[in-house]
Amino acid sequence: MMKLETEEIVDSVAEQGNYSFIISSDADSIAKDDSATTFTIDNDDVKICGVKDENVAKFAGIANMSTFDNFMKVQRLSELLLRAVNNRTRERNYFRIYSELLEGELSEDEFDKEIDTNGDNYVIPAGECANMEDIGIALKISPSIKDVPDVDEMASLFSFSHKSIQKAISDGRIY
Amino acid sequence: MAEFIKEGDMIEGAKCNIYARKLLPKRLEKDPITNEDMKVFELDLNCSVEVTQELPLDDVDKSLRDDNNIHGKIGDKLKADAIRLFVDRKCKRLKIEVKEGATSRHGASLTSTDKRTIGFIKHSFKMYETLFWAKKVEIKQVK
Repeated sequence: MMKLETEEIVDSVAEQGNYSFIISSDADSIAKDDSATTFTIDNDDVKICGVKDENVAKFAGIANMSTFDNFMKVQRLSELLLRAVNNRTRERNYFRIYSELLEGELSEDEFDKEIDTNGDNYVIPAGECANMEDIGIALKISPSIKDVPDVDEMASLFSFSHKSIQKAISDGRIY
Repeated sequence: MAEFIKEGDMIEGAKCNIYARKLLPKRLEKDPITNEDMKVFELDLNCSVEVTQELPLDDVDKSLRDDNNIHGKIGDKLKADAIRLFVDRKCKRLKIEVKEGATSRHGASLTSTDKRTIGFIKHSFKMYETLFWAKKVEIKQVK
């Protein structure tokens, strides 16, 4: 199995992007056994190559700043997407019992009681105060999500408060 | 009694008249003022919501509305291309009357609510393109 030293990795990246790197003296602790494998990411925005074993990955690369920022935001993005999926599930649940009501499988009293007792399954929760970063992430991914035609729909999907949206607009205009 | 046309403008009433060429039920959601469960509808294609009965409010509730710039006098009206409507969950199904030739070319749906109703003018994505941090965001809606 091919193994790369950190210096080779960095040289390889530098070659692709015509950049020079300074390598720190302790940058070489990947275990050199059969579990170590090399990997590369190579597209218009990111060029990375590295080596990884079961415990650590060591890599070097070049990325556009916007792409690098996106990597940093991945965890927050996952949280927001989970919130969006759960909110879409609440919408589905609501229309499911609403159709049961229309078809006479549920009485109006049963329908109301179900929502009163298990509200979290059917009601989109109150909007949380979102900062500019959250709104920025949501704005970036919203065009790829179906049926999000405007900012308020995006706010509902991600449970952002109406006030956050207003504030973002007024803050944004300052710049 | 006034007409509001700016994105984000909000009205609230005990009863409202609604006019829209398109009215879509969306979901059950906590309302933006008091966090009560309300049905959400999307009104589209030139629509309006007008307060026909004021909501009885005590001083605390009134100052909450004043702080958030929410209008609730009889005759206060939102007019916009797209409005989001919150209607009390206990409100029975909206009976929609189709009025042909509401404009010279198109018909429209008319309805009214008899429970607490909130309407606000939606913010378009286009507006956000003007913001400093959204300039690089390419807005393309998935079909």
